Amino acid sequence: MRNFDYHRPADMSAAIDAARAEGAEILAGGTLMVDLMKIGVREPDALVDITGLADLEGHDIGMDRIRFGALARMADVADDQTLKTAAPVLTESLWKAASPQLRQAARLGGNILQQTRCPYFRDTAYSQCNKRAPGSGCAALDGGKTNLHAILGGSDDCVAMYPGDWAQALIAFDAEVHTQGPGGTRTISFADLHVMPGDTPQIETILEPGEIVKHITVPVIPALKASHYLKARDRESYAFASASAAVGLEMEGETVRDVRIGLGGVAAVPWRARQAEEHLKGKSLTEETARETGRIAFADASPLEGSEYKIKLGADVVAGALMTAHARSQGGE
Amino acid sequence: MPKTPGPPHLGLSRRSLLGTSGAVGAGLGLAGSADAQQTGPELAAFNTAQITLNVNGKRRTLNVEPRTTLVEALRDDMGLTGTKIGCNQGQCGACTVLLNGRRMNSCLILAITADGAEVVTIEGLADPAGRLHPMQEAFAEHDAFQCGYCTPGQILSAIGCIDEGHAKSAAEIREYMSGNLCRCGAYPNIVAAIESVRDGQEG
Amino acid sequence: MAQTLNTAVSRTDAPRKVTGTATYAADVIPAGMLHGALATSSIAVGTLTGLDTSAAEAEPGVVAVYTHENLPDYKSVKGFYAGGPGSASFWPMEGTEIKYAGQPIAYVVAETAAAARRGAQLITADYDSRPADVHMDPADSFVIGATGDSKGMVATKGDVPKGLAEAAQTLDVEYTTPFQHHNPMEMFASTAEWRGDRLTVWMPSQSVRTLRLGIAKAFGLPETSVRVISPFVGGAFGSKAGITPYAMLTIAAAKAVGAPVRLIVTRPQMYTVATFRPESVQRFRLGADETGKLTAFEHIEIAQTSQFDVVTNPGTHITRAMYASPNIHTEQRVARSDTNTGGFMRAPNEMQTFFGLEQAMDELAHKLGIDPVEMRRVNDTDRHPVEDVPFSSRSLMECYDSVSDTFGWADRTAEVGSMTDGDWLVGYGCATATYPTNILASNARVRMRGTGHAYIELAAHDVGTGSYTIFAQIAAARLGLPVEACDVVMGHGDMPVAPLAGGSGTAASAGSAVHDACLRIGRLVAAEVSRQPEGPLAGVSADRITLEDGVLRGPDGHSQSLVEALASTATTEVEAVGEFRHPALTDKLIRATFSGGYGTAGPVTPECAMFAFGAEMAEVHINRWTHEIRVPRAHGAFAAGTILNRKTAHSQLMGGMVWGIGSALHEVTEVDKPRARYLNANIAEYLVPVNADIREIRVEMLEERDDYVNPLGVKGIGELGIVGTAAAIANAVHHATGRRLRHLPIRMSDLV
Repeated sequence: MRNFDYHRPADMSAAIDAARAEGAEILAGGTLMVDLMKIGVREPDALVDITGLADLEGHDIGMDRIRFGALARMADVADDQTLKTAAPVLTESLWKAASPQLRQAARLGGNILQQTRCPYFRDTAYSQCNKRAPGSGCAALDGGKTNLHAILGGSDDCVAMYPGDWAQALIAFDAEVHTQGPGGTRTISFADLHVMPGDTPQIETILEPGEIVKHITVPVIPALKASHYLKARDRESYAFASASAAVGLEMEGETVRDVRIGLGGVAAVPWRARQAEEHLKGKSLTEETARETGRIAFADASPLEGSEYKIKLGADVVAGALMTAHARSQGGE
Repeated sequence: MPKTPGPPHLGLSRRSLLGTSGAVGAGLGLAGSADAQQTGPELAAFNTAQITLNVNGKRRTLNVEPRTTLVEALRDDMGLTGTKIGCNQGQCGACTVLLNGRRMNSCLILAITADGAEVVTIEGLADPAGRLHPMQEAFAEHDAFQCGYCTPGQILSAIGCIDEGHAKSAAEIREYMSGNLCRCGAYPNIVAAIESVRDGQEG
Repeated sequence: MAQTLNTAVSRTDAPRKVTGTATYAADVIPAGMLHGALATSSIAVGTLTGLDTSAAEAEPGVVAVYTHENLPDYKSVKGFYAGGPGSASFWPMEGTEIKYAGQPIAYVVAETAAAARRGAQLITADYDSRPADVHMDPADSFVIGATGDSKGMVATKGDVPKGLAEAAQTLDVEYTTPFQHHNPMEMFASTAEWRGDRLTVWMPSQSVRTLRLGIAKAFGLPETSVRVISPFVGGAFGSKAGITPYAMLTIAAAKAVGAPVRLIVTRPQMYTVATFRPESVQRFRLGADETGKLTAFEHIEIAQTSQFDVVTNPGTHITRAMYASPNIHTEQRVARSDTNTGGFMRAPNEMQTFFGLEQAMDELAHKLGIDPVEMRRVNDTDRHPVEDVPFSSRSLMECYDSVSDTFGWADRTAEVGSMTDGDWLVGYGCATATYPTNILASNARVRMRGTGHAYIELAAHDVGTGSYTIFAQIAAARLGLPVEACDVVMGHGDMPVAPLAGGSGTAASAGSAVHDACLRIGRLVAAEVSRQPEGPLAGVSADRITLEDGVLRGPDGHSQSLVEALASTATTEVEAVGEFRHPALTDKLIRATFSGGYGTAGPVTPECAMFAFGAEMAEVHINRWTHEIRVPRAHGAFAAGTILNRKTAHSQLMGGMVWGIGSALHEVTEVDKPRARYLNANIAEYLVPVNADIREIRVEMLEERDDYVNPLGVKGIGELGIVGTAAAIANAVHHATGRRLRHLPIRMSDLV
């Protein structure tokens, strides 16, 4: 790891000042940043440790919205029994991620900003990686097969997959991200936070230098209660999703009034399957309509060799998640 | 051209090797220090910072580089080699310690960020009379290891697992102990050991 | 058998392992120690044309950077498969040639581990790169040392085409298995300290003898000037057997820099600086009559090897011992590709070959409509099918009967896809496990005191296998002492020779040497007390006194405990070096072991075939939505002669089955074929089972007596557990889904 300068500012304005400096990066739980620094993928000149900003801790569940501090720990939020009942998708997508120890250290603000596990990005022996070294090319496109590449949202310059789980629930449920930076405070729709790779895959979010995530809010809607995060992976725990779905349902009798679908393990950025949602609205929820909805969610997929199976897998996972959400909407599990 | 190897700089302190310019602490805002609003890092001013940790009930003061991880501070600077490094990437759990009561991978914690923290390692589990912690006893009794390398991390993680309330069933223990890889495959015995401690019936 | 054997005894090293006081190699910090780090090649094949070390040298804390240009010379040693002590025959940093991706190209020494690793990151290299090929091409394969001799790499009996023509059903299939890496939890580490011409190396090792001799040879030192210390090993599984480049480079760097140096290899580098399980193709042609009896058996194994070694792990030696058939042909082939040299990884000949064989048997049984267990029963044999010698013991069908009972095989409905549990498809599968009994020469020194203590010393290893405990138990049983009064010291290269900890041979061979040393102590003490003027055995002819469970017995019923007898002698202390030299061990084999190699007699001797056997059954669940494959239950019944310690043996067999689950569903080293580089060289994306993957594992250890293999009747259990698991799971997947998956691992991508 390259050495660096370390700051631990006591208040927000000092943090912004330190973080906006050229070469500075923000440090919270460190589970992502320290890992990437060790392998030489990120080499900041300075780390600005924001864990002293007490205002960014904690979370609370209001009548209209749920607020998560950027410094709330994954483990603490995942263990909140009230949240588990009110919005199961928001706890399930946390405890099914990473490991117990990582969830104790990792903070939610960092969680949503995690970077791809693409091996060509993480192994600096590869000179070609447009995300790590803009303009250098993409070794994944003619590389060996892995199941880590995006089948949705990738570009000719980058097929890296966004690996996170919680973000799929956030995007599906219209979360907002509240930040403060050199230009003041702003509220960003979660759907706008991440940027499609296009020809600038090195740009992953719209956050400006020095802009710090303060908290994340999720509006309370009926579909949150009948929600579910289904994660398919080759081992039972401590693995990234091969495909996952964050879903929620609001039923009106036998008819789907509202449905939310976020897709993990398959896309370049947190992904919401809006077309699939629209398809299901107004229909009844049966195995058949659930499977059809799943297929529509992947209608535009373009997999690399080796990732083709994700089209079928992802569709089945969406369908399975919808079936569970439906059972929950009926008061069952 | 490779450098001709010279005599090692064994007589030099780390500061004299690393502190090529600037004063100690320049550009280094430490936790709780008055100059916390320091900005504009001086790149040439890397140096060690003094931190204090409470390790296993003992106050330890040491100098660390910002990049020094907690596990290397424990092992190389404090000689507490009971904590193991299994991947150095937060992927295996061998380096698990309790940091302010929470189980964490000490390979991903920068020591400087732990300034002022309480750390419990495997060396700190037995009571002052040398009696083993019940979890240590249970691991021995249930043969919850073979090679023993992941064991310190497993034991600390197991204590955390029960403290968090995630040991209510075998299935829950399995899930909440999945951050600790055991390549020898002792998992069922690890679960049995934790259940026995949970039930207070070990022995 | 004495009380302390065949019982469940807690590990004697458990207190150290649960308190963090067991010292693994990287836990030793000699005064003034510096830290090493490796820089490795980004290309796989080519020539190094330039190496810029200036930035590394300028990094604060970096003390020295070594390359092929300034590293002290040492004499490189041959690889294991070429009869040497090395992990491979090609040694990096001797010149500019690059033969595999991740090959060491520079060695950085610094004051801290962080500075050393940073220095290594700052080294840049230019290469003249050539295309690399990691496509193992069976068409380019060749037979290993073909002799036509059935002990060799080709065996033929009868006429396979004729047997196939006569069969009611035939099968002609190919199975593939991937590259796998051992990934012990302990990272490879090596600490070297020179004091003048005396060298001490701390390094996790499965063979301190091999290391000591090899290092002495490489650095031109007398053997007595080299100390190799490896008291605790954090898992090995075959990865810590030979001298690796990382060790040799550390020793050289420590010599050059004039201070002790410790290197902890990074987890990604662990994939390229040591050995691995080579990928393989397993071709089977089988024929059987209506009753399931084999009429033809052909197995051709093609395993990957490097460009500079021929890895010889003859799996067909094992498969051809399994089932009776009048017509048999087996061939052991290899094909080269551009990697480092592979080696042995837990059940190196058996995991891959039995994934093939035991699925092939299942496929044939399915075609014939015969129950898979019955398929094994009708082909069971009490003589080696090729060598035509009897098995020293073979309890295969007893194992099947036992496991069928605990598992509930009778509940299996034969029809594919006929069993479900909610959203899960359910399948049951079974497979045979076997492992050859290796017979190796060993010595052991036992010192006993009249105070009732014994000290056992030998250059053996406890890689998590429980050796510390079972040697103490053997001594306790023979000498009549409590286990805790028997101190075992191991893992030093200058102790009495014991074999490499591999091939499940330590308990059988080194254990037999401990046993022999104890008997010798009995004779020495008997001689003393028989000469004494008084005492229960005074005047009894020494050669008529026997030692039984710690009691010296004369022919007339007089007896005295060994401890009392010893306490009554003038010295009150006695020492003996025991030897294990099985009659089947030739001088050549003994010499091989004593010079750091692996001189095993067997598994087939002129009189006997020696194998341990087992039967495994697995229940597989496949989710109808996620297609996830889980194994809620795996049962195994094993017969491996005497079980010395039912607790540690249970753990070993269980651990083997966990490995089998990993091989079946998780483990694969993915390769970027165009660049011959590993893609998942870490322990997050190289999946191994986590706790949540392992639910019910049941292990039954059957009573079995084998008087031929060694005086203890031990056949070895370290690898047996893994052998049948992957095939049992694959067979269960077929039972659940009708899908025949002839490759490993089996993933949900195969089942969507």
